[in-house]
Amino acid sequence: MKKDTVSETEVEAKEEAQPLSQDSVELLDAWLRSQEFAAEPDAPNVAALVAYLSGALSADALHNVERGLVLHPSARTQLRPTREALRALRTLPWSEVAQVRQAEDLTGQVARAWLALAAGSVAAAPSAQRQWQAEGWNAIREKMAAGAIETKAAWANFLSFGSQLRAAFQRVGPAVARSGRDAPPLLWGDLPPDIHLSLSAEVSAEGTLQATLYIQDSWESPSSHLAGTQIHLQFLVNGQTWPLADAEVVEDRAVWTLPAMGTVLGLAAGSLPAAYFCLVLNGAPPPLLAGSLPLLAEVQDAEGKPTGPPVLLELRSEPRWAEEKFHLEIALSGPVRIAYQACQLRLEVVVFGNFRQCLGCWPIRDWSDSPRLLTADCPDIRDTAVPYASVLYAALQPLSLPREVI
Amino acid sequence: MDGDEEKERFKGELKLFCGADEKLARAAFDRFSHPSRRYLYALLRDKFSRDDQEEIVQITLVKAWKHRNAFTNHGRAAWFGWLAKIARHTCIDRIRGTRTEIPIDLLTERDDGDLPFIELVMTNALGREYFYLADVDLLGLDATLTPSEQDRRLLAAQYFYLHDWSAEELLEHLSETRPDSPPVSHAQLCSWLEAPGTLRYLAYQELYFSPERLTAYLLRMATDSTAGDLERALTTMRAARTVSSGLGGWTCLETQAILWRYYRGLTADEMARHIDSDTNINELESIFERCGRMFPFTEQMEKVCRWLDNLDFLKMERPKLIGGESGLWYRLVFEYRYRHSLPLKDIHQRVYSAASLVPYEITLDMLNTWLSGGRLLNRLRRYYEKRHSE
Repeated sequence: MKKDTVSETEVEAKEEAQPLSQDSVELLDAWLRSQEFAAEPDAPNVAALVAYLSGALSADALHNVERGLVLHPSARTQLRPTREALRALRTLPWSEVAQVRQAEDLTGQVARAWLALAAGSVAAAPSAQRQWQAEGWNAIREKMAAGAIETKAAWANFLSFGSQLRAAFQRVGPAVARSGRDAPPLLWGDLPPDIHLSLSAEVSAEGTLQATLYIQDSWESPSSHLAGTQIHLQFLVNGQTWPLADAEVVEDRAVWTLPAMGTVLGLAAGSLPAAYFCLVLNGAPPPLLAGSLPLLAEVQDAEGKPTGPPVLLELRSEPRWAEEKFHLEIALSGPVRIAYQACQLRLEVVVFGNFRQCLGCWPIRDWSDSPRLLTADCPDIRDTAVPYASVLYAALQPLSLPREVI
Repeated sequence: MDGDEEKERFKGELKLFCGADEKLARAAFDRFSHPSRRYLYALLRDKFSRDDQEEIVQITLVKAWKHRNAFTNHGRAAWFGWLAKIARHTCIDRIRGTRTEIPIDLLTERDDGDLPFIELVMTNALGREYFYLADVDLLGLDATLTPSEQDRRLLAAQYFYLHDWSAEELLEHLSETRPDSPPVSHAQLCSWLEAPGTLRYLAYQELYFSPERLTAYLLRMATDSTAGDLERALTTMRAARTVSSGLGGWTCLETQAILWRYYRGLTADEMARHIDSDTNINELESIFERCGRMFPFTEQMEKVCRWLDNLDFLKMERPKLIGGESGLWYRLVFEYRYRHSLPLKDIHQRVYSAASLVPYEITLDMLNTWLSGGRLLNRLRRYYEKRHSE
């Protein structure tokens, strides 16, 4: 066997410059050996894996789980079956998942952990917009690391609103949505006479959303009339808004810089029309723009893939849960009923990240001119009502769609 | 309590110890005698029998109290250095069979300029940081990353190389678990998977066997057996009456011996007192020889070599990646020595056969140079000071 003498000598020569004294080596060596160092984490259990796979953990808890996975091969091996079980459960109606959780096998354990997370997230959903209004993009992103369920739910519902924004682009066509001269942004609050606003918004190549509001007088000259005013920027889609961030007017403009927002929402680099934004001046109450809650439903083919532009649904009531049941009144226009009579409406509730739980499916042919009250069993969920539509995801899919595709 | 708080607390206790009020000094001394005892045992562990250790520790602490006026409070590192001097004098007495007074010059604290560094290590080494720094310095992980980012990359590499996940599956998984972070690109993932530090860390994880993992392996228990599982096994074995009801094909007595030896870290000599039987040391040694022949280290190394042979992109030469120039063996030795406090011979048993396949010959003398000679601590000192100065 070849002895690695050359490298040993080299290493020695390099490392012996200014060495610790022999006494110090002995001291430190013994002291280190006498310490009880922080134990490495145990292998994560199924509940921890489910929370991890659902993006529901704080930064510290997430690191603990990943460290546990790095160290424990058996836990690593269990991740894939847990993930598969979780994916399958999310496609079943809530009531069926509640039945599955009685089992003692892996699927039963996953179902128990997942439903507990989902119930917590739904309970936190009503306060999501308030939290965004109060804290804004940068603060919420920072707070995500702390892992509070309210913040995680607020984030998930924002992502869902983002998917409504993308669907809205798809409905009018991205080229149309992102081209042409801007209409002035919708404004909520009192503006001094002869003051005009124009908003320019753009997603940079790095994914930062940069919005600049220019304030001008009636001669189109820069105006500092609003200097010092707090303005809240909101997304606006189909008459529904989502709070983004505050900015103070400095001289003739207000600037919002929202790093990574474009990346997180999957928005390509380029400009965004002002019509997709709403401005709220000096803490005016958030606007209630639509009589009903519009929700864009994805249209899917027999393989469960999106096909064609999304369809606008009208929610005639807030999504709400009472006495362990989901309730929603929903109207479908005549053309929608005719065009999709061989389809069913599938509804899911947003939980964490981009994950959702199926609530149920309802055939389109069962609708008439009147709105229909949909209900679905949701055992163990607290009574709650959510004042916006994007807590739900809707899809129109062929009635014959096999369950494995769902 | 974090490292800085612990440092201040200890300093306060030493202040009382050096003070004029004897009652307060005694109370303070009693409070820090536990870490002092642990330190002294670690100092003496490989050199004396358990009985001798106990006596030397006792005498050393009595002498320390008696000569407390000679100690000047320069902090915790100075205290342990002073204690080591007294212990050394006591050891010499013990070997010579004498009982002499400590010369005054021996009681003078040394000042070789190392104390600030030792204090720094003592302050910062209580968490995972010390081991993490060893990962970065010795295995060559990316020093700019946080431990969390590092583990994320290592986990991705483990799933890719060891669990056959595709890149697409991994990318999906990475974005699912961090919905608030921008998605990882394919190119980023490739750079994670090809980083020499990552590959070296994976090799390290395959070769490193904690006491729990090695014991579970020898007893053919589940690979993720915890300390609790092994404790329960030990309790069961001690309660068992039949000699044939052990684990993994071993008898009950053999199972107990393996648990004591590889999980609890006792020597055959120490063990003879714990096993309720008339098994002699030779019989125990014979069990451990059989265990030694079953050790998984060579097999694991062969697995690592086969895995690396199949990586087409690998440009780095084998000695630099996992051989004598790589830091991999330092890292293994560091873990066995400082997390598990294994004696040199036990560490040698866990590394030499695997290293010989690289080929890299690790002898007991080399380990002695790395550890008692300070090679390993000196290397970490340089890295540690550089990092803290940054």
